[in-house]
Amino acid sequence: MIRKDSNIGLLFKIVLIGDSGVGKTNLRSRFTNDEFNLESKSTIGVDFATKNVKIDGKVVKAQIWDTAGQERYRAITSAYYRGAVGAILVYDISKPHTFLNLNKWLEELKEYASDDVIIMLIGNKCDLKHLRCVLTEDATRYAKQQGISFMETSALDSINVEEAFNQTIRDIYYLISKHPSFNMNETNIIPTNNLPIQEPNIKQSAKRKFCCT
Amino acid sequence: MSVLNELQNDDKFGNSVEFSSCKQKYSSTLLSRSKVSSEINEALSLSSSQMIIRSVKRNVKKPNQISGNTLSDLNWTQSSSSYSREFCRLFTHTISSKSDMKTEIDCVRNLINLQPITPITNISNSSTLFSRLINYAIHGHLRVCHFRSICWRIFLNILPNDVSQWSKQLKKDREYFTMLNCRININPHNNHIKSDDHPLSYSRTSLWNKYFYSLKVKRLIAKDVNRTFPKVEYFHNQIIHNIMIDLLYIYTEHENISYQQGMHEILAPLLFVLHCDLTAFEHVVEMKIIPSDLWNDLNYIMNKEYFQADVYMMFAKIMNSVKNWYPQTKLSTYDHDKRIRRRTVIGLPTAITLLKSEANSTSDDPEQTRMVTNTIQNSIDNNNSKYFKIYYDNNNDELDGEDHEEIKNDSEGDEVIEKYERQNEDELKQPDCGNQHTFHFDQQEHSKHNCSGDCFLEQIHKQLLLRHNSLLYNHLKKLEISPKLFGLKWIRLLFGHEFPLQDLLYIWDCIFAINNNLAFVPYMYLSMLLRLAPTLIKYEFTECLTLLMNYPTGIDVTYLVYMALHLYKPHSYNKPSNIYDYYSIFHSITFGDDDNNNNNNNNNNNNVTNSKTNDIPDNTGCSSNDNYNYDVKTTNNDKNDSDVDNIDKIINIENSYSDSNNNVKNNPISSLPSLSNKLKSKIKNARFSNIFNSYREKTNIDNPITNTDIIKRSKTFKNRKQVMDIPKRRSLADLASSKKSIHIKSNEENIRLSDIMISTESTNNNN
Repeated sequence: MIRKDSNIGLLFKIVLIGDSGVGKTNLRSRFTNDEFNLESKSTIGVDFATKNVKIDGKVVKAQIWDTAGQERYRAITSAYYRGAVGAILVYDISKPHTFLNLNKWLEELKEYASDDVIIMLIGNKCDLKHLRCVLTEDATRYAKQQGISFMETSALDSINVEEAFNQTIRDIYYLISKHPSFNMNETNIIPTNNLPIQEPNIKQSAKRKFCCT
Repeated sequence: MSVLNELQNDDKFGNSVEFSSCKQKYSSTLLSRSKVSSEINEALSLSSSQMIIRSVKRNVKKPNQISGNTLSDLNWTQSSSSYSREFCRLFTHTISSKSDMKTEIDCVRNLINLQPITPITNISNSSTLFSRLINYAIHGHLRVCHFRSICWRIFLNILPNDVSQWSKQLKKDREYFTMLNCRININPHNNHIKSDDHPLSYSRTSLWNKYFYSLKVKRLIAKDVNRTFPKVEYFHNQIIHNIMIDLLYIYTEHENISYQQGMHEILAPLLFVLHCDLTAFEHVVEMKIIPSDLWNDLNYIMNKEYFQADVYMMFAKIMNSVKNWYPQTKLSTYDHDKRIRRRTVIGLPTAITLLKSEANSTSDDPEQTRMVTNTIQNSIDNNNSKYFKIYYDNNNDELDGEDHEEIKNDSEGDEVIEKYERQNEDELKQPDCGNQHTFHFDQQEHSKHNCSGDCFLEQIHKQLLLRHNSLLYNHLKKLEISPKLFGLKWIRLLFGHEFPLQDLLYIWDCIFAINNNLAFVPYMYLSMLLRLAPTLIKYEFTECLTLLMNYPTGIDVTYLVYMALHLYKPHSYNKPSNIYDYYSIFHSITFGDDDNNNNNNNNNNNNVTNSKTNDIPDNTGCSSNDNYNYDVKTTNNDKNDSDVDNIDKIINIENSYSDSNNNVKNNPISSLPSLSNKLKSKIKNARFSNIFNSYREKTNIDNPITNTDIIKRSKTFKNRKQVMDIPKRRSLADLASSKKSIHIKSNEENIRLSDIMISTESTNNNN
């Protein structure tokens, strides 16, 4: 969703998805607050945080949405994915079933999110080198097949977390800037959302058009 | 059993958790109470002989109520003559019908290092017991009580109101749990039923297959159990983790639902509360304070061997109401999941054979064999249809082959669609119970997809929030903040993530006390929203949602609970008056909303005239007649009317203090007529709310303490002494002189102690 706030120019919604226990909440807290909790509660429902990022001299506000890994339910997921311009798939390199379930999460993305969403694959907990069960080569190959970018991170040691989110936000920004209606020089112009978005519900798309105009 | 034996080694750990919290509560007020406790000891010793005479008379009047199971008064009086400490227990026995007196004596006994006796065993009249326990829970007195788990089980209808039937009911429940545990939580290492069974066999009737499936599910549950209440040290113990995993697994298998994240948050406080009560009981037994008759009764109730069974019964009762807010059994889209699910159901016949073997072992008792066979027949009838369906599915799988795992076949896809349609039809036939009971409106039509709490939240916003604060409702709707983004977490965990554990237990006291299928939950939800309404209306999308998802921790829980009680029953519970209310009124005026201005004018008029009008739905004032009727319902005994009148006199003085402060600050013009009106009114509940809220809000608002504040507090302490010296009413001039006084919590307790003095005087007059 591209929305203009009163203070900041652009607002990007990015969703975090993956199995339960892979470290989604600590990735978010490391990126937004630079915090890591070994003792963290299970995420119930939806959690939410924001951070401002500078790209090409412009400030972009990123909304990072975090959800429960076990919760796969339409009542929440439809509201969760609505308006998302970026998605970060997370798996745990020390637990191979979290990597094998990525197909399921990609299918969910295709069903609920827009077609042109930017997807980043993250293999978390790369500090557990002695417990690695998913090879980097296998994950890289899978990412190429699916046409998404890939990076390995460690929320504990703060490895590549900042880089992963910044790369996702940068890719989103460049995709939007390629659109002809977007004028980079004039910051006052509100970019209209003419990108082709296919929504499962017609009513929601009608509402969105009304909001953007 | 070995796990529970290791639990006994952790008694010291449990004791340190509980008694350290008690010390923190009472350390600030020890000095003031030490002066008063000596006076109370004198009063107790003087009146001891009169109490014995009174108890003998009571025995003569009510001979039928004496029974072997409960404590008899004759034995009580005999034991009191030999021990000096028995005077306190006898005193509490005779005055146990009064809730205010009881709480005071409990506080005093904690200072004297005596443990309180359970008030439940001393009363035969069950209706007064239940209503009095509700008042205990609402006013926060269960925080100090060592019998919280028993009170919760009475609220949840697990234990009956009659004390003599507790042991029978507990015996049934514990036997039921052991049967479930043997049937579901099977470990083939310990059993030698089938010699043909092999650990690596793929047959669906194999116990080993079921065992390995249970390990997989328990591993999934363990991820969340390890992350339960990370700041509470009690939940870092591995033994507690194993108990939680077993109980959650047994519940999900018995109810035939899949485990959902959040169920562990419901189970954890129940474990904590019951463990605290058990450690308190063991401490009393070690100190040998408790009499033998009471020990015999409590030893079966507070038995650590049945720890899991008692927790499971509470958990199952709560989850039957909360279950509507979780997604129901999810559809399996993979063949692998189907096979796993089939194994669990096919395993039932082997479990039934286990029950039959148990029935053979208990052939000596004919009654038990009948009960066991009835349960077997019920389980067979319930699972008969499922069993044959799965048997039909087995034939299809044999054609495909067991080891071959493909994602979907065409025929299986059709089956999935049919199952999905069946579930939709079932849900249309079975509407949500939550919508029926919590709202007094006609039930609306269902949406076809699964509701699981979403419709419930929408109804709270449409029916309650739109009525009480339409400005906030429209603001959230404008920002497109769906209530399910934050509300599902609130109601599924019963507000477990929003408050620390000690405050959460107080909220759960009120939720269970008003046990009308958790009718209190939507009003608590509404109270939390209304508390944040002035700040939410200013904020945009990001700040609003962040504030709702991370509820601020500095808010007073007592205010939220009393506000929710007022929203639940406006006629029974008055609105908690607070500096914050006037602040919110000021903010609503600045937005320029005409409707709010009219409502505020009406409320101000009601404050002046103190009259009741049915036209205004948000009326917060109640007439004195309603309060009088409410008081009569709570106290059915006619003998206590004189005592209640004496208590009400002090309450009037107390209300006049707090009300005069609020009125002088906020309504200087109409201060004098409002004082005269409020002296006449008798508001019992408002006393607690005014004192607590005024104290806590001022601590939040005040700057760091200065010398002038210390001088003011010392002045109020002197004023309180004058109140104790003069029990009569004070004139208006004296009330006006105390405008600048500040209420301190310790002074409020001094007034409670003065209630005891006056009540003892009244009893002497009656004698």
